[in-house]
Amino acid sequence: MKFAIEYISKGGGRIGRLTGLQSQPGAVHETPMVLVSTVGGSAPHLTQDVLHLVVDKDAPLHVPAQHFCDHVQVLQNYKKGVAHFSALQGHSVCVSVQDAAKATPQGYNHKKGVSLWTYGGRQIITADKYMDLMEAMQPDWYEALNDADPGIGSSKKRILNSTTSSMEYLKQCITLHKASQKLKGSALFAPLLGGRSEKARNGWSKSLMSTTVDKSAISGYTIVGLHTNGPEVEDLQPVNVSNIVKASLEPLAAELPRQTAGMWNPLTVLQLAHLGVDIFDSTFPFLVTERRGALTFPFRLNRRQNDGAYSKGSCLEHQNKKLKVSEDSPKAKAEEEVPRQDNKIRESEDEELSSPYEINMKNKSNVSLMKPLLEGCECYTCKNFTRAYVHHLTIANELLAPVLLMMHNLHHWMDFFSSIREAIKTDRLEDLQTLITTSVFESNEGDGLLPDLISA
Amino acid sequence: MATATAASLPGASVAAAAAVSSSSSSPALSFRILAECSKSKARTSLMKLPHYAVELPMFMPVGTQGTLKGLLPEQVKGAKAQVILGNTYHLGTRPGKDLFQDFGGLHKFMQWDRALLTDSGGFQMVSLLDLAEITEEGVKFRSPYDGSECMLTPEESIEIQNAIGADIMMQLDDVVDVREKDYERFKTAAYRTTRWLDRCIKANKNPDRQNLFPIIQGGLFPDLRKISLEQQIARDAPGYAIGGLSGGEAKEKFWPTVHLCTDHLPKNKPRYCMGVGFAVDLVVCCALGVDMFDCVFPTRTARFGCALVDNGQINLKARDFANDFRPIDEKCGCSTCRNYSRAYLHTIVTKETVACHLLSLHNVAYQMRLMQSIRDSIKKDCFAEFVEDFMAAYYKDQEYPQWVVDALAAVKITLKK
Repeated sequence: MKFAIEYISKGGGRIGRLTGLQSQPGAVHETPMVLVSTVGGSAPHLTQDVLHLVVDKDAPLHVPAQHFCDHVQVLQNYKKGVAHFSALQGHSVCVSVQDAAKATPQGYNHKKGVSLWTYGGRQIITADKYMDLMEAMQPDWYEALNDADPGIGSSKKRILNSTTSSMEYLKQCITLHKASQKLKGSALFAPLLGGRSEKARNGWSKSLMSTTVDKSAISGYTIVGLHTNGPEVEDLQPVNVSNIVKASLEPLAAELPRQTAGMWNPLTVLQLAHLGVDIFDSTFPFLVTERRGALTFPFRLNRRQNDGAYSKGSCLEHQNKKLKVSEDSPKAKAEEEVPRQDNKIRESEDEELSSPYEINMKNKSNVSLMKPLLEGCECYTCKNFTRAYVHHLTIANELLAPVLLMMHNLHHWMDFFSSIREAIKTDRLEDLQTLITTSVFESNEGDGLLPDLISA
Repeated sequence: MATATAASLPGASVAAAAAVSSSSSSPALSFRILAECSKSKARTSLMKLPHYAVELPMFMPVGTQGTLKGLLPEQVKGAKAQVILGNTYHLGTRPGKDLFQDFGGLHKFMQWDRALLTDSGGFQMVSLLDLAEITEEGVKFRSPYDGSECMLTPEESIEIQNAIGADIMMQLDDVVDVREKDYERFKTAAYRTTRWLDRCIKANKNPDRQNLFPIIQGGLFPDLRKISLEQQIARDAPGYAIGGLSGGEAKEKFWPTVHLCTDHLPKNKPRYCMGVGFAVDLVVCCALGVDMFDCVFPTRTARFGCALVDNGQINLKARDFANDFRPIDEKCGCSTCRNYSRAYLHTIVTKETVACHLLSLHNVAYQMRLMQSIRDSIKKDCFAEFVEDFMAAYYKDQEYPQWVVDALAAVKITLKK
């Protein structure tokens, strides 16, 4: 794997080029980029032919190790790696330890290994076993085994245990990686740990740069331990992650790619991109699909606008929704704690769970609408089907509902990232942030409860 | 929407322009036999419908609520389906006939540009609703949504079906559980079904672009079937359906009933045997001269992890497939078999919806391929040989069921082991 930084924007963020992947030597992937998140080797709800109606045939995939640790022997017998096994040959693969789409149960890791949750239950995996799995999966790049367990409010002792065992796993992974013929073409990413403590995160990153770690084996970093995966991650706002991510990145060499998995909401994605994170995944559009939402937040910057008057999407229907975190925001800032009170707001809504970035297709208002999910959207769903039809499928609980919604949401998410890259190239990441903030949360009418803008 | 002309009609190109509406009085259907088996009653034909020229015999997958089990319309086309069946009871309840009127029918709503067939809604009511009661006026039932008392009359059924806009509509019939013993009940049903047919014909607002098929009733009683046949055939219709079967009756009673019906139904019109979808039944019924079939089986069994193959079905959950890197069927050209292995499917069946889509697609493609083989063999006049080979592969190491041997013998096809 090769990674080159092409441009560092004055407005925050950086443009990189990811090349030289073993499975697709000719491919060039521009960052910040999205990996297509998979469940059991497939994009959720999308068969291979349908996925290819949405993304390029070489779009990199994100495959959590936990989905395949029950199938090591099968993959060993198969010999051609997990992408080919899952009928997605041609796509490159990044493997992480845990699945960002599922909350990782906490408190199951110990000195012997890391707990992975498979279809069959829990498996404790050691560095040896993990590396056997990597050899069988043949990823283009992968995260070293780590215990990123510490959740919000973890004690110093728990964080220390996590970093101590993770350092041990990292060293073992590096040794095994270097000795492995099969992993010669794969790149190893080191985890960035330290829970939610700036000090611990900074310390961990410094230790990666010290002589105790063989840096030559490390091709990139994955920021883990910011959360424990699953739907709660969408509640993390820029303010909740900014300082701890900065603390992690500050000691590191800038030239290596940085990745972070999770169901980040669009504004937090922008903040992470602003801080120089290069690789993301598509678990957020999956989350939206699972609650039968369709993403509609605008992200297209028109011509340069200096007066702050941004065009708003034509299809915004969020007027009555408030940014969930907004009411908790001051407290969140004060306590540096994840807002936990949004459940109340959610319960008080008669609609199902939803976010201000989407429309809810269970909502009866769609029942006879002949327009697409999002006016002007070029995705397969919007070009072919009406809201009335998608609503009908949703209400009838038909399998095609999540298929069409996943197609739209994934398309929207991919386009959002190309807009992010465009914004970085033109030093307008803040404009993009303002566009989304003002459009999506316009009902707040400047009451001062907008989420933190990108910090200077 | 204007009826498609011969020149612009998509679908089977076989002599499409030359096919002449030789039989029915319906401007919305033309039927032409292309070849007949020299031994059995099997035939292959071309049926032109407003939205598609369909090659018969054919199988129609069931897309109950305006969608076929998670598949995009283009995937369904890729599996070579020509007609999808929709259920009037479900569609009439949700999204409802008003919406179809606004949208210009189900074709547009679901983006399916080939042909559609809708049932009458009666069967669903009797089978799904405990409280359904049949009176001369129609089927009385309690709404499962609000508990109110509703009535599905022949007129109402046709009104909904007119709004849906399918190429073929089915009359509302008096459906009796085939395992019912009471002769008088079947007799009433047979006569009532014809009275309801007359009301359906009268109610049809779109005879120029929507065909209405009568349904032959009469249970397993030959004399009642004959009465029903005589009455229904007297009403000129573009095609006829054999109803009241596939409800759990003994196969020894099933095939003679089909045999009797095809003996009497007009040769120059399509014949549809409702609810039949197992491969062996399809082959036998084709030999008996049936042209059209439908069944939920291929897509239902997919949801349980089962894939259709030449000797029945395989359940991909079975451990045997964990290291089986072959496709479900090496001879199958469907996109599932071209891309996915049994081993991969084994890891996700009954866990991920993708597995369900992949197996539904294969199973629909399997049915289509089977029907294509039947049509091809009739054209080459080697249908009897096809049947022998098919049965030999299906019952690999088993005895042939007696009913299969008997049914085929009745149309001069001899099975030898």
